[in-house]
Amino acid sequence: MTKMVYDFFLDEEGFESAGLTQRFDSVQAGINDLDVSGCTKGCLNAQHIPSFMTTAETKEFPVANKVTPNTLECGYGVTSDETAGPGEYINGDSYYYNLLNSNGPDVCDCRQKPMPDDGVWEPIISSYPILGLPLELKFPATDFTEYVNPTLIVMMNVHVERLAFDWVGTSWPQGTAALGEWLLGQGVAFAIQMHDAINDTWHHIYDPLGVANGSTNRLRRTERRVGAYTTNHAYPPVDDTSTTLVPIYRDISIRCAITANDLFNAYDENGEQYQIEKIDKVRGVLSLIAMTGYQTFHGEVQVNLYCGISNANLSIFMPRCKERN
Amino acid sequence: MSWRYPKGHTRPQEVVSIDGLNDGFLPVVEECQGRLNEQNFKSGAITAQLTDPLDPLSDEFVPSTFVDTDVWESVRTTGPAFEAPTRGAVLTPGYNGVNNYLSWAAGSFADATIEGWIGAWSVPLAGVWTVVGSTTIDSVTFPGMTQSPMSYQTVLEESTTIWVMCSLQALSIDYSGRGTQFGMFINGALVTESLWGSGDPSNDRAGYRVSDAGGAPIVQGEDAASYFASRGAGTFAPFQGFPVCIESIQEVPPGSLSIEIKTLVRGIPQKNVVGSRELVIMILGR
Repeated sequence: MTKMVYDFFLDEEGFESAGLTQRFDSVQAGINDLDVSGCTKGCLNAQHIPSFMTTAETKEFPVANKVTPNTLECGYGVTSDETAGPGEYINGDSYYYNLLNSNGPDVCDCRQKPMPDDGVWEPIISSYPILGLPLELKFPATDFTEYVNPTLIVMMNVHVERLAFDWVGTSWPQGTAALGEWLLGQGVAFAIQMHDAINDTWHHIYDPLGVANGSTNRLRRTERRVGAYTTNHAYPPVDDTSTTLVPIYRDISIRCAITANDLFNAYDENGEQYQIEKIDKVRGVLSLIAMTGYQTFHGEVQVNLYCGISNANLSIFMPRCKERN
Repeated sequence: MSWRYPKGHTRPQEVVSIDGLNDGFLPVVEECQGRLNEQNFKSGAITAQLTDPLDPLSDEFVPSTFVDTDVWESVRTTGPAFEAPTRGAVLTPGYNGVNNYLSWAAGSFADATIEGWIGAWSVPLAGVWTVVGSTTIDSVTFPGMTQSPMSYQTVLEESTTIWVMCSLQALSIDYSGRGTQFGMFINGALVTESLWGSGDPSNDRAGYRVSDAGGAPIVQGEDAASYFASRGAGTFAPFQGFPVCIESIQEVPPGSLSIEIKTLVRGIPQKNVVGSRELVIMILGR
């Protein structure tokens, strides 16, 4: 408790230098020794303290489909260009043939394997007014270990307008109209990634426990998916401009809190766990997913996927937190 | 004190009185002993280092903001020692080959024993609002998995604004035509603005289709994501699932605070599953 010792002047007490000085000194000492007990609750407001956020930024890609030549791509189109075989992928590509967990007919349960941890993701990009800008936000490189409970809130919204596919290759059983299974595995996945400011690498935000069931597949916390529609499996779209495409109009909204724990549980390009020292960017990424393999035919089945995104936005903010001493 | 101090001013030639001096000093003494308020501090008086969002002492004197990050059940991050089951999940679709497709669909995510469904949580009950992740996941099927309800309880000393953000991956292979709903419950009450989905997905349109194959264009509506639509001869369900995001900013009173993310399945519960999910709770100021 703040103690300010003030001796009241008494009646008929003389005004002497020593007496006045003693009073002034006591007041000065009391003010110089103020602590929290001297303050009322809520005494500090926005005028006195810094913002509760240290970082806040938003990037938005407006609807661009009205100005692009190919209106069906809705301003942004992703088309598979994978040349690797089923179950393989080229690092840095955005396309993944989602291999079944077994190729043998009648012996597998025919569920698809999880996607690789990395290497099949690419950033969402703009098409208007500037083509190719990644949906990413940059902020001062931050070492989370320097703060107490640092948290970066990331919010991403993506509006998917079209998602369709057609087949390539020769072994696809498209002549068998009764078969509908091939529609099931096509889709697109979205996620949020963080950027290692030191090593200039992008990383998923993983489940800290990461690996389960003996698998080497780590669990991405921000991964969200939607599947592809088509009009009729007997009449699939022939290309991305086909009128038989079904607009799916899906909103992909992801909310994520990146903490120091996520930086501790990053993985490098070799799949080894390591600690990110500083992050300075986040971005939204996607990956197209295609199913391959077939129980009866179990030959290579390849499809091309078409994903049209009309607009997207990414926002971040970081609540201010205490620096570690 | 700071805006009307001192009460009286000493003028030239005026006799200084004892009472006047005491009246001059007294407000300073009184306010410095526990009554200093926002008028006594100059703008920018407090530096960033002095505002600790998680320091209860500073919470008493500055507008406080602290973040509870909750992925499944954990509420507050504590740095490197954070051991909460912040789980993602993979939900890879599949099929069981020709003519076995329907039998696969009759399966249950709760029975999944393969890597494609790691971390998934299967809805246990139909027709009942159930906290997402509230049932124990089979630890044999999913090693290391524990009960992880998307819920949070605390006690607030004062009325507060909370910002709750929840996003998750859902998947339904229920072809019964009945939908899946998600909602946020605060202190046991459904926040109606957070309600996601419909019990009757035929009311929801996910899009439309235009077929021009072999004749005049045919326009038909497409039902919502959770509907296992027309699996016979037409469009098939989105087996990659559908993302869900519900969020709300609410004023909450002092006392117990409960935040829950629940789901309601009208159809066959075991055919509805939740994958990667994250719940972020911000408790904003006083």
